[in-house]
Amino acid sequence: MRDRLIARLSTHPAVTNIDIGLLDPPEAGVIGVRIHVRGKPDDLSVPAEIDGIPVGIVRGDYRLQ
Amino acid sequence: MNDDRLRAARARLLVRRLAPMFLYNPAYRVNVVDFGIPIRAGSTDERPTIRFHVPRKLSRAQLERAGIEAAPRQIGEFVTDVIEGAYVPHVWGWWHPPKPPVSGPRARHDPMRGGISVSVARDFSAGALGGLVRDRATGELMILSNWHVLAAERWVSAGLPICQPGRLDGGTPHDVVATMTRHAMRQKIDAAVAALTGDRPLINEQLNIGPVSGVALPRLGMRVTKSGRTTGVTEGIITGVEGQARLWYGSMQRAIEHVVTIVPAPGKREVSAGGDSGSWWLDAETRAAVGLHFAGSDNPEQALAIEMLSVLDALNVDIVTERPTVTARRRPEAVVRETWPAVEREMLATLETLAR
Repeated sequence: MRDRLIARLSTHPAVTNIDIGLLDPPEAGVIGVRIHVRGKPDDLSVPAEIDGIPVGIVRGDYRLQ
Repeated sequence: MNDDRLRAARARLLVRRLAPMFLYNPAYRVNVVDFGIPIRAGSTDERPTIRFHVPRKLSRAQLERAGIEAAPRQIGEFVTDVIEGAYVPHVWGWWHPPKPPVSGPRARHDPMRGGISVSVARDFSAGALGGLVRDRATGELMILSNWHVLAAERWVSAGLPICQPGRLDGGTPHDVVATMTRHAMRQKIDAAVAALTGDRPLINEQLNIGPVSGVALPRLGMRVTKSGRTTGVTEGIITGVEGQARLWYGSMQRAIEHVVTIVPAPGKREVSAGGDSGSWWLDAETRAAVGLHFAGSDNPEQALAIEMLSVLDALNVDIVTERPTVTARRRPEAVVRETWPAVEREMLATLETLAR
């Protein structure tokens, strides 16, 4: 499912990373597919879940260090 | 074409022809020859002309006493101008590089260990020396860090000299400790290895942490620690795995795979900063390496690393877990000295290109 989302979203200029991880809030311990985005893109629509797996948006504007 | 443009074209042609005669003749002490607005006191002619930039304007008598030739007052149709200008390159510390501190990650280390400053010898940059690995095919001992720390250019060839400390931290020609061997950017992994020259040993130890025990897969919720060139030892928690990220490398975006996301451990504010690239994230309990740090964000504070197992497989190397005291081969320092003029030539060529 992560690969399907990558194929769909990886060209979106605001998407910086797509991974499997703890959705917000991390204390809840819910694991799903996360879309890391730069800023607050208006045109990015992501379903709440795909095939029963939750999908979430997290903030992440990454630079080489 | 109007008169002014024709005049400017003739002047430019003259400047190109004349400049070498004045710049490379020590009798003139000229820094720059150009075509520009004259700076003459009381002159009514403000049309651009040929100008000679000199460190200090002197009278004819002073010039004669100092044995310096005066620049010609007229060249063809142009009444020349002499202006003051003493210029130095604004490259970071080329002529007066910073002195490395006596201790800490930015210092010169002998023996070397993970988490200390390193860079390509020709670049004024600094990243982290990740740690010690061994080539699975040849058994050669190598430094493992990021591609953007040990190479940084797509067309870079093997043999690029690597300094410890990095040039930004005061590395000099005498600090070349390795040469870049290969990288894994084609496999979408920002990692590279550099073979040790043998001038300084590299031991299996992360600065202020201890030796690396092996390699492990990152797990969600795993507590990790790293020793980096900028932020030193920090602790974090893995919150994401199996990532595919897209980052800017200069003017080009690249996809990086097998990405691990790390947030600060509870009660900590910082995980990483610029200059930490190349450091190894270790399982805080077992000290097994789980990731190669390469990027991060400030808001929110997060670090990105690449799964260490994927890095090692892509580069065909293994982490050295014993603590060797001497590196595999010894390279005469003369060889290092011989490589340095090539580095300097390349830097000069880059500067000339920029100046153009």
